[in-house]
Amino acid sequence: MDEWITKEEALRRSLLAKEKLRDELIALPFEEKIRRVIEMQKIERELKKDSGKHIYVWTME
Amino acid sequence: MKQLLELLAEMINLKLIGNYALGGATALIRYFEPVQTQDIDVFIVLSNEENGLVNLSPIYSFLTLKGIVVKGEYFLVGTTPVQLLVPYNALIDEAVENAGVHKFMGCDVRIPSFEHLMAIMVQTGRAKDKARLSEIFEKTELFDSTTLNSILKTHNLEAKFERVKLWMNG
Repeated sequence: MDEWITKEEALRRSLLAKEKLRDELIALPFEEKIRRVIEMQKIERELKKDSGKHIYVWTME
Repeated sequence: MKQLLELLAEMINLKLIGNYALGGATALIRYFEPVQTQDIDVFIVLSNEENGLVNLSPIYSFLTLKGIVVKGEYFLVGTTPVQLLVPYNALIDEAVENAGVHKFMGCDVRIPSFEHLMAIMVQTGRAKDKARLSEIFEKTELFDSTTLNSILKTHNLEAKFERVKLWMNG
């Protein structure tokens, strides 16, 4: 994509994309949202594995 | 998560609890974006409450028999820390009583209305509650402000809400 845009326009597009993603997340079914929470817990556990802090990772079941 | 909902349904059938509703971040996720959280709060209405006194022993016995591990203030249901909370004021009583029934993996799950959850956040007023409210107010189409205002008025939270709004507006 060869398009020259201002930094302000780049920022505007970036914020719009974030809002769009947020709207998509909000619209997910509850079950899918819980699945996303579990994914976040897995990531946090990985990030904090050397800190000694225990991160609980739920299961859908 | 599913195991927790099955246990709650069984506790209602056995009349150990009168009712329940999820609280905290897990309940909020029903209406808003998923956020990182560690535990699940569950408000339980006890069947054996007498003159403001409650006895949690039958629930502890039931859960222990089911192999649920008690870890400090939490029950460990599978790998999920769960905190059982007794509704401690009229707003939470109302939120639990009017909770909607939703579905999770074929199980019923009771979750308070978005407006009740927002009112609880106003009432609790911690920094993280105000931060979440601030995000929610960017999406006014997601809630009914008339309902929210009515709940806030009923529970004398209007002044507190004004202070939260001041905080949100920086």
